[in-house]
Amino acid sequence: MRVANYRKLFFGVSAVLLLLSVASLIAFRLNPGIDFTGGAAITAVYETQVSSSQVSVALARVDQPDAIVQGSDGNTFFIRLGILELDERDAAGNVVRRGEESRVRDALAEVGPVEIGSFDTVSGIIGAENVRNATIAVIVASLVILIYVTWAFRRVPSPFRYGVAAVIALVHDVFIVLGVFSVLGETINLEVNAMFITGVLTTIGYSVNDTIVVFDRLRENVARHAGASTRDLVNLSIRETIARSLNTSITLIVVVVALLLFAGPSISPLLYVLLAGVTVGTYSSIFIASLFLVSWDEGEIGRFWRRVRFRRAAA
Amino acid sequence: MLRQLRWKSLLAIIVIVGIAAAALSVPDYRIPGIGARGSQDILGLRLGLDLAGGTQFIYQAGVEGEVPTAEQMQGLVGTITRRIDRLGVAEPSIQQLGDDRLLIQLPGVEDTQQARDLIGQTAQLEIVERICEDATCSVFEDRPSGLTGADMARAFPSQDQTTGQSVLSFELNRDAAQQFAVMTQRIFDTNATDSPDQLSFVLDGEALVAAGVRSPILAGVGIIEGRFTAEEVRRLAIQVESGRLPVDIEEISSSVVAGALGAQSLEEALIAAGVGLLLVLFFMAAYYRVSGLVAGMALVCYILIVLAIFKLVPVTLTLAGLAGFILSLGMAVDANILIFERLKEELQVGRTVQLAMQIGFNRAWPSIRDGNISTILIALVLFFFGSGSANSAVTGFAVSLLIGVLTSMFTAIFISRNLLGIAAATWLRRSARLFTPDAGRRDRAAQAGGSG
Repeated sequence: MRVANYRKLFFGVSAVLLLLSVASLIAFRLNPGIDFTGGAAITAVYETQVSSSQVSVALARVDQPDAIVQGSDGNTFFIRLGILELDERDAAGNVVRRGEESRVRDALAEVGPVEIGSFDTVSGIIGAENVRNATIAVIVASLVILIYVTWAFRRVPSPFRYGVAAVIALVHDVFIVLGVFSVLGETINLEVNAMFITGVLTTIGYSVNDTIVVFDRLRENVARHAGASTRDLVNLSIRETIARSLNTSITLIVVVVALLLFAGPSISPLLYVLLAGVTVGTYSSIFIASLFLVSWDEGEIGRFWRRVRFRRAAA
Repeated sequence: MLRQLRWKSLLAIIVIVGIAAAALSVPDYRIPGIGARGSQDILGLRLGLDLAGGTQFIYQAGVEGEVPTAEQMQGLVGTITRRIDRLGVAEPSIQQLGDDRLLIQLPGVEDTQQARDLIGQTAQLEIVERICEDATCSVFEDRPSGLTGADMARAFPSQDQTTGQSVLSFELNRDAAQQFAVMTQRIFDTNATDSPDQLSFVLDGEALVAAGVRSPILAGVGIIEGRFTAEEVRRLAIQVESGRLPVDIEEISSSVVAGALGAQSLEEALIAAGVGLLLVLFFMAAYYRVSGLVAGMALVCYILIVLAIFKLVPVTLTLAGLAGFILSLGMAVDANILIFERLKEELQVGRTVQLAMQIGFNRAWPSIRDGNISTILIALVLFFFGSGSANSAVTGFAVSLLIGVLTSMFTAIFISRNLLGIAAATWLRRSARLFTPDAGRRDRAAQAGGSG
């Protein structure tokens, strides 16, 4: 198995996946949940069978025509609403005017006997903060990884390359996961929420962990086989670690699938990210991070940049 | 010598796992010097609101751009704690988040409106006229003045400028000052009679302080003096203030989960954990054989230790935290897989099982360490992201991931290693095939009389 010799094939595959992801992100965007936009999310459990249109009509009657009502079994419905006004109170705390939230509760009860399983509200301020915090978290995580990997491989020649390679694999994984999510958002209405960001960060952690295992073997082989080319060393290291990479991924995927099949829908964004993230993370640690080192070593990265710059100058 | 060490470590493993199992089997207890641990929930673990059911609010204090002071926030926490105590919630939690936010968690409360009523409700403080009923003024009749905590602008401890005595200063809102002036004037006028009336601050029906009126308070700004210590005045000020909220608050997030839905989520997560665990154990045993079985035993020890840590720290278990824990089962196996792959290589080279094990562990360690450090760093980033956003789901996930990774390093290098060492010290060592999937080549070679 001489993976490094076919690196252009793998780079090509990744380039296509990345382009598809970016295209999908532009076309479909992400489907942000209330954590990021503000708004309300309700799980309503009816004791009798009702239809989602009955629920929608009842909500439209209390000025919530844009409510998204999902649910297939006729009992449990997931409802998404915009930001709801609360009851207005006087100085003594007595309700002087009933707000949208109370009216929504009333409307749901009118359809039939109902239990509110969960009712979450998030204001616009928190939503905006969450967007900012999530962005900062992903950037900080990437920087921390760049610094850490460079430090961990400080004894091998040009450790910075290892750090850059790990971060490239990580950014690759994040974009593809985002791309997958824009498709899932469009098709099954899956939302991007704080748990999604948690999943993305966990994917980053997993992807880097996986990359480090391959790099660790490379580090060992560099010390053991002085004078061998990076390409041969990478081939050897991948061959030696591929069983571990696949086995670990399989156990993780088994666990995530078990969660996806049995655990409730409130953490499903997290689980879908992990499923996509573990898969693409395993792929990138083998075929992107390590092969990128070979390309850099053989001067292909420099040539690529020069060509891009030349083209831009020509245009 | 080597064998002796192994038995010692086996004893250590049994003790550690035994303590973990004991910590989990007793539902709740008190550890001297540390405090109470455990609960009535499953294994005595503390369940978050999304699993146990309950209501959570986040409030923003100081609306309209004003930033509340630390004292105001302290007063706010005190006031809301008092109000919530009246709700009779088992274990409410009122925490300050950052400089100007409050997180309120009410386990078991499903009626958000009632909780909102109580938190938003103002003024249990009443200003009362005490009418002297008999000649010696030993009996008073309390007569509500209609003025309440809502009319109180602030109350704070201060000192009399001439005597240096500790006194309680207070200010009324401008529109209440007129009524207060009339009232104090009337009480002041009774000073000339034999039965002078008094003024009293009553909090929830309990008189905090009662005093005569030495001079009418016309501008709504007054002091109450008496033989107070500085500490008494400080406490009094907090109590008077607690009748009203020191700053305006606005609800910026709320979440309620019904107990039934929480219980369902918990049950589903536990089923997922069980199925996930069985599949991982099956896969490991099928692929890595004896080593896989050892990894399985180590994984069971891992589960006990992590859950015991959750209980002893204590970590409040949310659905996301539970997912993090279940995910960490998969990750905990990784360290074992790294070791077994090294073991396989060393066996393929033809080393004895015992030697291969030793070298395999040493070679696997750097990648276990470096790989896990990156996961730990990410868990820390996640923790700060979660606490910055007051998102208990994210912090719960981060904490269980962190505890999981640290524990998995321990179980891999201590428990797996020693159990495997013990297995290799028995007759099992005669067949390398039992320890690894691809050692067949070597076994056959050995049988054919070739050099391994």
